[in-house]
Amino acid sequence: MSDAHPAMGRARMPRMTTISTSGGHVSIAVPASWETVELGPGGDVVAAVEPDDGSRFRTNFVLATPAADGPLPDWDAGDVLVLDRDDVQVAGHPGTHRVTTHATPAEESVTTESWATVVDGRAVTLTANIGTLRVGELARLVDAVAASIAVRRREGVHA
Amino acid sequence: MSVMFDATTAGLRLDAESFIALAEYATDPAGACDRTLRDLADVGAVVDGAPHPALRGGLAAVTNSLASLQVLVTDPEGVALHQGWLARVSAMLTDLGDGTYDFESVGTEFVPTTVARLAGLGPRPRLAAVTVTVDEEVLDGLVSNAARRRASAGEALADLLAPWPAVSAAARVGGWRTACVDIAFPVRDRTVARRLAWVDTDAGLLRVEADDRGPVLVPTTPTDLWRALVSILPADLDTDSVVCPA
Repeated sequence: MSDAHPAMGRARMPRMTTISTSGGHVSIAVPASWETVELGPGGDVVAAVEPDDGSRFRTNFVLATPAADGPLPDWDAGDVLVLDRDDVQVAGHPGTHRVTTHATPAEESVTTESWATVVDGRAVTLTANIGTLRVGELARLVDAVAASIAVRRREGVHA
Repeated sequence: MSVMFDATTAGLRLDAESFIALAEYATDPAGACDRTLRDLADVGAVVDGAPHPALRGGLAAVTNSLASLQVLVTDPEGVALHQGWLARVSAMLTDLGDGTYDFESVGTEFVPTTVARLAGLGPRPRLAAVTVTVDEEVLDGLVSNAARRRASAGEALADLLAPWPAVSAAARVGGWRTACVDIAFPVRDRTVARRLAWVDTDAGLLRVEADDRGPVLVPTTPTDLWRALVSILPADLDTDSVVCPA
C-alpha cells in the first residue's frame, strides 16, 4: 500500500501577479516576489524566476508565444526521460501536457513540465523547470500557474 | 564468484556475496574475507588496501546512509529487488535478475530518475476514476518469487481490472508490472518508513492505496506518481542532515 506523502504540495501559495507576452494576449499568474524577465527582443517570451538562494536550482516558468507554422514541435528529442505526455485543455484550447526530467550541464536534476496549444496561429507554451527534489513541494504552485494561462483572442483573427 | 570492474566508468558488476564483502571491507578492512578480497583486487575494485577511489563515494553511502531504499519490480517474467542508500552522494545496487548486480554511485537528486527508469515509469493513457478493492493475497501473489503464483495472481488482477477493459486485457496477456518503493530513515528516536506502490500496464496506471475496505487500486498518472515518488524521500536530502517534514 502507498503511504500519504507529507511533503506533497507543502509549500504555501505565495501572493501572485500576472505577466504577459507582448500585446498582453497571453498571460500567466506567477509569484509576485519572483524576478520577471523578457527573453528575446519581440516580447514573445517572458519568464518568472525564483529568487536566488545561492545554492539550489532556481525554479522558473517560461511563457512563449512564437508564430506556429504547423503542428506543435516534437518535444521528445534530446537526452531526457519522458515521464508523461497527455492531451489536455490549455486555456480552453486542445493542447498537450508533458513531463520530462534531465540533467543540466551543471549536473542538476531538473524536471520540466510543459503545456502547449495553438491559438490564432501562435503556439502558446508554458514551461516550468523545477529542481527534481522539489517537484512534490512545488506541485500546487506549478498546477496553479498552469491553470492561470489565459489567452485573449487577437482582433480580426478567426479560429 | 562473479566480479567485473571498469575503473574508467566506475562500473562494478558483482554477485551478492562479493558486494557484502566489499561493503564490509569498506567498514572494517581487517574483517574481510581474503578469498573474496583477492577477487575484488584482481579486477581492480580494491587497490592498495582500499576500495578503488571511484567506488568510495558509493560505499560511503552504503556504510553511512541517511536513508535506505528498496525498489521491488515484478512482472510475469520475474522479480527484481533493487537497493539504494541515500546520502549526500547516494548509491544504487541494481538487480540484473541473474544473480548479479550493478553497483554505482548516484547523485542524490538523480535517485528519483533512477527509480523511474528501474520501474519503467512513462506516459500512459488516463483511466476512468473508479476504485476497486484488491485482496491482499492477490497483491502478495503479484510480488511472489514463484512464477506460477505470479501468473495466477496476474489472472486475478485482470478480473479485478474489469472497470478498465484495456487495462484488464493487457493484464490478461501478461502485460502487467508492479513497482513498490520503500524508504526508511531515522528521525530522532524512531524510524520513518514510507511506501509507494503501483500496478502498471501499457493501458494505464493504478496506485495501490488503502481505505477502510483494505487495499484498493486507484487510477493515477505518471505525473502524480513522479511527484509522489519525490515526496516520499526525506526532505533536504541535498544538505547535510535529513529533516523530516512535520
